[in-house]
Amino acid sequence: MKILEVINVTKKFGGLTALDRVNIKLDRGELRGIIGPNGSGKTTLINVISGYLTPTEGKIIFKGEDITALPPHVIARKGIGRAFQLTNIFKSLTVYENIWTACQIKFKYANPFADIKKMKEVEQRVEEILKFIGLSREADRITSECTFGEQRLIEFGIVLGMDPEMLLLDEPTTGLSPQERQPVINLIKNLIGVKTIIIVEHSMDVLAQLGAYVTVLHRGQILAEGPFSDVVKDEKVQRIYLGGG
Amino acid sequence: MQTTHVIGAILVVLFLILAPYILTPYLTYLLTWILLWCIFAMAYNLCFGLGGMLSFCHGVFFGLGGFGVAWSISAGLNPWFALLIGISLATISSLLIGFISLKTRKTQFAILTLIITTIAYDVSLRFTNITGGVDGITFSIPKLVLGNLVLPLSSPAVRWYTVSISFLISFYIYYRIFNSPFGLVLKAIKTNEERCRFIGYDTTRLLLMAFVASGFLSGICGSIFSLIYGFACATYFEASTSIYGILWTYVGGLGTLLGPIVGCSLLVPLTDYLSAYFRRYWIVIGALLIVCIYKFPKGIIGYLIPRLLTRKTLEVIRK
Repeated sequence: MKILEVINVTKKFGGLTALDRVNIKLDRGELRGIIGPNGSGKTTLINVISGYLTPTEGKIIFKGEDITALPPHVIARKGIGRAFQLTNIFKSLTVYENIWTACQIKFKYANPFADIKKMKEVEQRVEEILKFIGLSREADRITSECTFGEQRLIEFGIVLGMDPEMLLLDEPTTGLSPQERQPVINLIKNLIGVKTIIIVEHSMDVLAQLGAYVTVLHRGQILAEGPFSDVVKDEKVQRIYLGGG
Repeated sequence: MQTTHVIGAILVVLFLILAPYILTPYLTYLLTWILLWCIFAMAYNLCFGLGGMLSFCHGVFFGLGGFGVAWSISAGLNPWFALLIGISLATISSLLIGFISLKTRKTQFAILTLIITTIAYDVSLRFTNITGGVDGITFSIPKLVLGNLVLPLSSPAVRWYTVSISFLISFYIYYRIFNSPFGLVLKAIKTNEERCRFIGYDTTRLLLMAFVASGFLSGICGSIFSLIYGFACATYFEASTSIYGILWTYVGGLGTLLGPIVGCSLLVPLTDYLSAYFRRYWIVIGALLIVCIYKFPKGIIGYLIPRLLTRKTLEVIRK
């Protein structure tokens, strides 16, 4: 059984069709890259899957369950974690509190009388994630004081803290310097096969390094699909997306 | 709990026990008044400081708590039952108002609560046979019966202990919420609600819980106020009641644990003093708020703590 099925999904904004009968199927543990020029519908696709937008037509099935038009918090609880194109973290909280907020979602977070200091399982998980993203030493820093690269890693930490089965990563390396980019790529590499990942990316270099299976979107429609090395050779893709041929 | 916290708690409890014996009657009266309003300030901080909900209808919860007690005592019910009715009325109204208001956020939320409080005030002025209007309802201050003990609430010492116990209970609830995972999520929602929703939090439900907890504490404050002074009136419903809450929490330190208590402890006596000598004392209070917003946006606690404590100490506290 496929973990995610996007079936004939269309999204219209007034007269503009952002997604036009898009079909995507993902296996468990698969890494899928979504590429396409600006305005091709990449982020709209992520928005529709994560519940930020409701599709005009079509269905989204996650683990055999119809999640079309469910609110974002319900979709997140079903196991889909999303990292945003523009870093979306809790800037007035510390790095530790950012990750903690995500990690405690599976525990008694709504209990107003639970003692945060006694939630050892959450504490352990936070420390594991801080280690994984390489920010253990920055735990007590307020995140607004962190560099953009660190904030990107915190965003990853938040998504991983939710312990989702599937990750939606919207341009995770945008705005990063080459030095800041590599830790993010390494992080994604470590997750290949462990989590199902959809990555929207502008940088061909990133997708080449990750060796992703790629779907190319153009004007809201799927233009091509296949392994990265094949897709970049595709004549239509070169003409429309890469400007070559 | 850290040793310093335990020592601090013991000192506070000791002071609360001994205060009527060591303080002058005026100071006991003033501190009773301050402690009572501290409950309201803590309630307001839960809503605005933690949850980021700028509410103008907290006077409704305070007022309904007060009227619940006034109506019950006037109907001959015992004070315990009256308290229960007052607090329940405030809590239920906060649930209903929260349910309606939390369909919106930020400015719309603030305007909606302002409209609700204006309607409540207008209704309470029109139905004078129920509320007594601006003159309010007065009733003879009852006696609390605790087993064989009969405690006249008209006595300043009994008032003091009643308010102190209410304050301690309220502070315990407030402290636990502040240090709970729920409290942290509220801070996170205030900072970035969208991110919280994408983590999986039903933010509307959580904000509603905070709003109701805040209404519950405001109800305790209003009910005790009415019970010990034998009075409830329609002016409680005015938006100015909430504005006091904003003032105390903002000046003390919005979203900090002790900010509302510090703000309330400074501004209540100041207001009391100014109002005795200066008819238009609101001008001074308003000017103070403006200065505070410009010069100390994090309030007294937010301004003083980093200056009084070294970075190292702060790190220890954070850990």
